[in-house]
Amino acid sequence: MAGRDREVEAALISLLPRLRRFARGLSATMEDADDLVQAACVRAFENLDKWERGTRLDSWMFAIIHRLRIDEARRAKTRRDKAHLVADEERRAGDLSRELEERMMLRRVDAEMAGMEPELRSLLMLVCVEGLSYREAAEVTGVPIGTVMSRLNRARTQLADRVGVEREQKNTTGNR
Amino acid sequence: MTFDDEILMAYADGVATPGQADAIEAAMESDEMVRRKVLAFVRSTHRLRAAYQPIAEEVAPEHLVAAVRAAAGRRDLAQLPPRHTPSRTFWRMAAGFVLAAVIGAGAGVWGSSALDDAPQVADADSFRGVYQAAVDRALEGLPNGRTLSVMFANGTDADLKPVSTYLNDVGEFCREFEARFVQPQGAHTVVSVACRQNAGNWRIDGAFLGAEPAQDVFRIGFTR
Repeated sequence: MAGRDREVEAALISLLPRLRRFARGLSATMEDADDLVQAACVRAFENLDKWERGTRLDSWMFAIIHRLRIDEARRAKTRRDKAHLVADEERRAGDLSRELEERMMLRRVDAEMAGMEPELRSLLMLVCVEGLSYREAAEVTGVPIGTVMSRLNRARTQLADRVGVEREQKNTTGNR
Repeated sequence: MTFDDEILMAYADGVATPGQADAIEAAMESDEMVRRKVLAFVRSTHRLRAAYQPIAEEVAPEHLVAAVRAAAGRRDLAQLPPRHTPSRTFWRMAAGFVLAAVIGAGAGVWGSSALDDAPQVADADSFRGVYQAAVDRALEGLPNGRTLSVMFANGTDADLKPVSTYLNDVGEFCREFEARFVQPQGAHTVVSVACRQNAGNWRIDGAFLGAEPAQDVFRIGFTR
């Protein structure tokens, strides 16, 4: 194997935890996220000649994952509603056995993110979780920086709105 | 003074210009709305980070690591000249023959220390299961070049060593591995291929000795 391939193989393996986290932000379940990461790694090696040595491998991988997820969302548009019903069902079924606070947190955020456009989810993950600058996020997602800012603003407003709805529902339930 | 939401967001993300930051901080003192908006942006970041952080702290599953190696290895294979591959039916027959030959030679098998949590068995009928379990464990857990040892009751040792990993035409993860059988009559190294099915089960597809099918060698090696 060429030295460069070995180098990328090792770098990718050490990046896997972060790639999984990013993919999880774009997916309904961890299994979906792992499938996405796996597909992205295969794609990366197929296109390794396009990666410029010295540039950030993580950003390049985020871009591949982002692109795969957007493509998948376009292909699955007709199936999407159904898929979410299933994911919601799974989430409810898992409620009883999962008591860890961090999982509950993830589940809540999952519920807020569900149904949000993948473009918006990517930006939330890239900027808020991965700590990329707006410019870096623009390069990863292939849109102008102004679009990044307006989408990011929209995504966070949606997130806040959903949290608001959740709180209202809780209050209503509590008053019963 | 009113602020565009995107400027407040940039401030919350720490990328507003110093001038903007000063103005926003001044406004936050007196304007409840500005303060709440900025806090909402900050909170969204904290919530997302907290929710997803545990995933980045998990160890990536072995099958994903294997997938990366497989993807890297496939490039590797693409650079090699194609080699003759026998049909799947042939592989099955060869694999069956190898198993039959070893079962015929062994009165019983058990796991060695390398397989310490594998069930201890002394039943020849269980050979297939134990051999399969050893292959599953070796292919699922070992990087290329590392060895797992199994010992059979008749004094035969087998060392299983994965040598390469790749994706086959239908997208299964496959690994080529060497099985070195050592017994009183001599030692034989057989190269086999197995493809991952699900949850760590590997379908053994063939056995080869050098460029030749392993069956003749096994006939010599295992038949008394």
